[in-house]
Amino acid sequence: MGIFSRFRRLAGCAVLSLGVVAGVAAPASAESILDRVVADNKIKVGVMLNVPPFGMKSISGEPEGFDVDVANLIAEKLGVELEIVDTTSVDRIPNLRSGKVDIIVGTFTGTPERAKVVSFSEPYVTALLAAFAVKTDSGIESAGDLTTKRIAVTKGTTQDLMVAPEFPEAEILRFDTEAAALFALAQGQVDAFICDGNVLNYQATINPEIKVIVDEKFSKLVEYQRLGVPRGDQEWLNWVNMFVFDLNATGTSYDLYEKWFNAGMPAPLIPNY
Amino acid sequence: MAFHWTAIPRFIPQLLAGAQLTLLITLAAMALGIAIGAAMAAGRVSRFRVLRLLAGLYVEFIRNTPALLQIFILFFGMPSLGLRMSAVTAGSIALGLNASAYLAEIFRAGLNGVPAGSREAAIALSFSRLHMLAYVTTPLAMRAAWPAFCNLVISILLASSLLSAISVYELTGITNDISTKTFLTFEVYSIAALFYVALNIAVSLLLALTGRLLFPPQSR
Repeated sequence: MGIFSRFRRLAGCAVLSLGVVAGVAAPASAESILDRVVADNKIKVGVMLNVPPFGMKSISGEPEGFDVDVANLIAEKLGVELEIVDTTSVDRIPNLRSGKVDIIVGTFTGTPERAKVVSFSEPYVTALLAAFAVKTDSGIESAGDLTTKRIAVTKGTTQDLMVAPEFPEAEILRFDTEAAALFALAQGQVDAFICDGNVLNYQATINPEIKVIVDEKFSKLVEYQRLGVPRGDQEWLNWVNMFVFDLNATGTSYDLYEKWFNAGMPAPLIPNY
Repeated sequence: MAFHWTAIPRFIPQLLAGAQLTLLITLAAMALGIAIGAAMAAGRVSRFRVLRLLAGLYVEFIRNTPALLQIFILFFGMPSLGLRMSAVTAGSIALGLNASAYLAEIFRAGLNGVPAGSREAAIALSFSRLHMLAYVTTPLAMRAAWPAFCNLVISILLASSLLSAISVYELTGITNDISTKTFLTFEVYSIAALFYVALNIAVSLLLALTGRLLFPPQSR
């Protein structure tokens, strides 16, 4: 190997590593995730498997739940194999941004802040934004009783963002998973857990020790939860939106909600504003 | 994907507060660890078989369970026994217990490393048992144990990041919080990593200096 070609390779390496360090790595290949998923015959779907009944594991260890059903439908409609990647609230955006998953199906509420870094489909499920789980015998009846209490939230959720400004005097404890926050509530390490109404209502049906409070102040606040995809892949987002339209228009979203919650969705998927 | 390093400076005060709590937790854990560790080391070299056995059981139990589990037991488990502590307290105690088992072994190794001749010399000079412990055995054992002790301080400082799992806002907890609110995942975690490196270098230098003062190099 001549000295020049060796130098060229070295220079190439240096330029490449500079590019990585500065974050201006060559633009992603123009291939859409849609094409890649079909070509590879496999889709990686991020689902939160610690948020029953959206995602959980059956006794035999198989993933199941509302979001798992949706993930299965996505793979079915694409005609590819499904790989479920277990994730947590706080890891949803890093997982999308690093390409570890092709799509997030995980009660992902769209917000203008989040939409700066990831893209959202149309909503596929709705939830009350601010419900509180408290111990049945705690004597806590409204959000007003919580002003100076210890309130748990799950890291990286919409509730995490709203709770501190709403309860400036309260002590906020942030946990990695809904399961950990519920456990802290059960063990008396916190007085309340603020989370989306769907998750908490389900917990209250299986655990008589907790009850759910929806304060009037927050009762009109609805979360529109969506499928999340990496930003900058419009073709993939188009397909995902088509999928969600199909899911909603055929009534499947509502049926799935009925199946997992034994109740109707808390608000219609089409906002009335 | 573009990086936004310019957004980082405004989070520096929060990160500094987190680093401060990390140091405080490490300090509290080490203090507790030294107290229990010294007692356990004494137990392990005791003349009494029961004490040796009990101290040995304690050390093996703690060393063979993960620190995260110990933290969970103290924070989530203890309320079942009626003992409810704040996350910082529970976490610091858990880390302290964790450190104590390793410290017991470090101290024991130090004690075993004291040459029999030194003790015999002390006896020959008619030192009382207490004086021998204070002026001969302990200083020599500490000198031998010092490098391992310094390593453990660094391990505990790094392990304090586990407390973020029980909602303690030490350096990692704060970093998680900033990351979830800004989505500057790579940037914030990189800066936090630099903070840890800086903390550990500062602590290491301080310990090395202390070591030089306490145990000046001997001429042989």
